[in-house]
Amino acid sequence: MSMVLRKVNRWKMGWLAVLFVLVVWSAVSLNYPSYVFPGPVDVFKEGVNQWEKGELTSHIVVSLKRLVIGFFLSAIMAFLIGILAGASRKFREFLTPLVTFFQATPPMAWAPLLIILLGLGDAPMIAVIIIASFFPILINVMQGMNHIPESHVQAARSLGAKGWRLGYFVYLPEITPAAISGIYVGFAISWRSLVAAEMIGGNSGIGYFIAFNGQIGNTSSVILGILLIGFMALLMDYLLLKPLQKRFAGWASRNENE
Amino acid sequence: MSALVQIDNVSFHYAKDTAVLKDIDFSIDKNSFVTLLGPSGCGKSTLLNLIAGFHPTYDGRIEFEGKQVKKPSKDQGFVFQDLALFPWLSVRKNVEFGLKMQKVPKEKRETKVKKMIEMVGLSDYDSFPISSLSGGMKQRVALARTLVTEPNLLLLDEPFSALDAQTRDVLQDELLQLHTKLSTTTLLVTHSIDEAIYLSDTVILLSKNGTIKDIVNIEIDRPRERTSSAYNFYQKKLYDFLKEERQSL
Repeated sequence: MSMVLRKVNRWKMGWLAVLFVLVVWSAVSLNYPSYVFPGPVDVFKEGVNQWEKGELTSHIVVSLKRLVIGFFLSAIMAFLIGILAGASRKFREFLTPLVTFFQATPPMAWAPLLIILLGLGDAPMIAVIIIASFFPILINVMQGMNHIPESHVQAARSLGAKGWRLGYFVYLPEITPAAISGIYVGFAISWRSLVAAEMIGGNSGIGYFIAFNGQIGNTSSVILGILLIGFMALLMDYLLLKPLQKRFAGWASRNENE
Repeated sequence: MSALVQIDNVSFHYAKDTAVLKDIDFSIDKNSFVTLLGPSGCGKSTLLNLIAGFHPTYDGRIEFEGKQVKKPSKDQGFVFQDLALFPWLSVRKNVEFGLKMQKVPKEKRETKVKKMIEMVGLSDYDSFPISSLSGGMKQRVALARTLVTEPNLLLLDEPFSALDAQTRDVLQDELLQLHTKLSTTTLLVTHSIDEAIYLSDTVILLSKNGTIKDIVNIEIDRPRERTSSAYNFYQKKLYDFLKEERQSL
């Protein structure tokens, strides 16, 4: 019962925050002509307008497609390489300076080069996403590997686990909670980097939509685009990341509550 | 009776360290319950790990079922001091783990797991996550997970040291019942004199310097009365040994 109440309260506070933003936004926008700083109503109208034209939807689909492909590739590579690095000290020492170097470079900085190399389509954008998300996931997987209790591995081996079974039934679940933390961080960075990369050198995607409308002075669409970026991140958090965490790493948070 | 484990002239040291174990000789008969007792740091857990095959290089010879021990064998079951239960699996899946790794067919697996969980009294908890169990229950899961694979040798590394006194007594009785029922040869490591006398046929006393000080056969019929004079006799004997060890430091 109290849990339900708490949930209702949380929702209420969340909606209150939305309302607060809308009020402040409206108040500020009253001081400007709508073509300079449009209010919520103007942006909503623009949203309906864009929806009817259908172009915006295709930009969103393009961005999401890039995100999903890039992120999926990146996560698989980071898992495999992270497990190898966790298992071999030499390989870990080889990777460490590379990881530090790439972690320090903003993924965005690669965009101009990647666009020259790979053209204007999906390929450079997917590459930016991979650069942005690969290292956070990799680092977390490596850390997860380092924190596997020795007794778990010994127990599994003495129960007859070896080879890929040891990897799949013991190592993989052991590192999943850490890996999912990495996925969270990687996701946030790659989503932002993708939008930025689309802004500087794309001809499609939500970032391009914002940049293009900025250039023609359509401020309503710029704000609409910004709202959609945040909204889509929220949506993916609720529909993808949270369920993923609950399904594969729920046990770790249960343990912490002990 | 024939020896299941034969240990000849075994010495061991960790890299760069001085010897942890020196000139260890003893054997473990089939179906017996043997305990390694000694002060902390005497190498009793290390010896258990050697027999389990966790350290492949050592001096001397350790034989299990007539073959030299070089790596972990599925015919030995090990219960760890920290239990090493898999926290992402339920009680049932933990118990099932070994059978699954040994590719036992699903139906057979399920029957065995169910029976084993019943035997340790956890049938009502079989789908519970490990984190929701009490210390004693976790202990039972660890025992069940090891025993369900029907090992020929059960190795226990201070399994009850983290439990409160009452739970420990209950679990010692349960362990004895399982030992009698399944007649699994058992080697226990403990620093508790009472536990050693209550459970074992034979107590091996390990000295601080990593050698065997004495081997004591506990000749009391079961069930053992903790207040009997025979019990007291052994208690005094083992207590004197530990006291001597402390003073020799």
